[in-house]
Amino acid sequence: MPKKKRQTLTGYAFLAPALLIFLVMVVIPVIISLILAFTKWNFFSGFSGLRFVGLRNFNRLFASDRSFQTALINTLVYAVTIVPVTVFMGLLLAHFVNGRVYCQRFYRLAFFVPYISNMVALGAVFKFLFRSDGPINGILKGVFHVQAVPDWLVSSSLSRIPIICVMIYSGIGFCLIIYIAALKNVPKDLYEAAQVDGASPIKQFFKITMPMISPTTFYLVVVRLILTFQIFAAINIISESGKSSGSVSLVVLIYEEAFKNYNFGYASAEAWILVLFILGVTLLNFKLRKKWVHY
Amino acid sequence: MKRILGVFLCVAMILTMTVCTAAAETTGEPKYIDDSAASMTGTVRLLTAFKGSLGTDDLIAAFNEYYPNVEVTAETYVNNSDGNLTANTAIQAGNADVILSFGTNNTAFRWQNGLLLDITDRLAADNLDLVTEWGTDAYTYNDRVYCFPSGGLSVFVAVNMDMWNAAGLGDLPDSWTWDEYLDACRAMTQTDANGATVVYGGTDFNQRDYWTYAMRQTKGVDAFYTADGKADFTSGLAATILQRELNAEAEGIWYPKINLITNNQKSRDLLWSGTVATCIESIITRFVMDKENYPHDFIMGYAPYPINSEGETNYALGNMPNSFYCVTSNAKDPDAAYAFAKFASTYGCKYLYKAGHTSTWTGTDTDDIVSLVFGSYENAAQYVDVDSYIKNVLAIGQPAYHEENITAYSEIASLLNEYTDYILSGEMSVEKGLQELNDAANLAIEDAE
Repeated sequence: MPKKKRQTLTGYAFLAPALLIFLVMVVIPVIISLILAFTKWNFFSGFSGLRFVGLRNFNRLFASDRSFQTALINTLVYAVTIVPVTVFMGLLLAHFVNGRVYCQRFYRLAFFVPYISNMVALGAVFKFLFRSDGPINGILKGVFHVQAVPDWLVSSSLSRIPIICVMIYSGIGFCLIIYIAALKNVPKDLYEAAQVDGASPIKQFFKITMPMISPTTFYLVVVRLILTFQIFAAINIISESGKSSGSVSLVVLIYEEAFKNYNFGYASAEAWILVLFILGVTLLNFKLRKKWVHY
Repeated sequence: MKRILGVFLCVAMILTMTVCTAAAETTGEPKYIDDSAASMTGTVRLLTAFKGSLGTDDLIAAFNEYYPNVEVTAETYVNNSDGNLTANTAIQAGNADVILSFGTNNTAFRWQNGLLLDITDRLAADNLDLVTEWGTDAYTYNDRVYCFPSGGLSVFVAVNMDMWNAAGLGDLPDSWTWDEYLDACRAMTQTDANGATVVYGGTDFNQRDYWTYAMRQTKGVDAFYTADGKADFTSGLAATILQRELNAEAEGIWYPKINLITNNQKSRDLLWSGTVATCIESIITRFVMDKENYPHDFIMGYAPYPINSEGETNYALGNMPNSFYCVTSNAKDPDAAYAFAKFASTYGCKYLYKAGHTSTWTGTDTDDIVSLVFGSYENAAQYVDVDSYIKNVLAIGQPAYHEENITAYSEIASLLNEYTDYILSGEMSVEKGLQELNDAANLAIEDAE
């Protein structure tokens, strides 16, 4: 056997276990999910229960499924509120922690701990905080003398707020750590040159720091967007109402449809809409990158 | 010779007729315990929502008195959507032989998807007629039987008798309308100096679909369906019920149900803590003696479920079929599993009372139940108003709601929960919510048909 062919085969042999796992755990399920999106099926009925329904699942999603429309809007709302606030707060805190402050390591740890905390625990805590008889309403009543305190968990519009708060709280730590590393890589001589030219600290931040860390910002925006589109645990813990809740997201809807209503075909259709949505947003980000990311 | 032959033939005929008659009498008797009970062997893995102390241990012990060589082990599951998913997966994996399945929606899902064993022929062989034994033959699928409709539920108003008496309301009524009940709630509601409610007169049970019991009370059969099998949420009855509940919440005499759901609160906890004076309940008897975990210092009374209009028959008074013993399709020892399910649905059905449920088996001796649940009448009197318990929970001979049409039942139950949330949270008006629910339910019925 020629040496090149032998080397190629050897390469594939080493790749084979990983390729096999990738095929079985990723590729095949994705293909099956695509097929299921055009069927009505629950796995308890076995293969005999599989019924091809064409585009009916997709028609129902966009024409008459109220909870899907709510989930789509909620997912957009979460993306638009959580990502900018998390990234901005992460940058702000990183700038603060990176400077000359006492107990720098303590602050880094304190801001990072929420990121590594279990989302179920965080969700339970925030649910308690936002209960109608919880501490937040207690402060509103006792300190600010608000008589008609909001029902955060009940109101369909306000129920998003606890979710947004817990996601920002848990996401800041990751952005902070990444930004600290990025800030340390900005050459100090740029700041020295700017200082010599009489640039104020704010001008230095916007003209030097921001452009230099723009690749990091781009990375964080894309990653946080993808994560935000996949919110599940926070909503599952905080909201008891599931798909009829005002705070429902697409992933929660998919879970409910698949594992509570046993409607795998419909859930697969919803999952593919989510995939296309995330793909679209990510491609848009990559296209816009040229305008504001400087390498 | 001819005479001898004639006598011989007569004797033979007489003997044959006697044997046949005896055989006919034997095959006509229902067989609750198998003839081979003492020698039957096998293992039965029971999936139930009730832990040992809630009647399961007693049931297994009673079963083993007849079937000493059948080993029964019990595992509990939580009767919510996640718990039922776990149970269904366990059944599919062959890890359960008998399940106590709750709710028509969950049970219908199981038999529709081949998770339950067809016991039609076994029931016929044992001369067990569904109507004679359990009062209904509605819970079948394609004319085949997959469950024993043996577990019932009694819905009533649980009353804090201290608050009831303090409001000067007299004796608990034998029958009352919703208006009269809400008047009583009004009398028991307490407010603080700012006018905020500190004690609500009443609340609904902490399950989304419990408002439909008011529909079941009036209709008596097939609450969700019209006579021609379509969805029945826009006839006006449902709107009246929901609007009444929302009005009572707005008035401050009825604890908001949406709060129960979103805060994951139990209505009974509000009763124990004195936040409400009464609550619609069904299983609260299970907890009333456990003062360590559910501290309270009042005697609990049982008032009947209210009726919508004066003079109506109260179909919520009797025991409504709610739980079903079923043999799973993957049962390891089907004969032993069937024998256990049969026993649990007949002689063993009374142990459901210990868990706050009831029995629909027509052979249940209700004289024993107070002692079974509370230990003795004297002990019972320390916790509950015994007369009202007997009247409104045991509810002997009272009219009971039942189902005859269960087309797309599990889909409709799911839609009901969804649209109840929209209506109770104010996201949709009562009329709009019920109209959309009705349309979606009709689609599900068409799909099922």
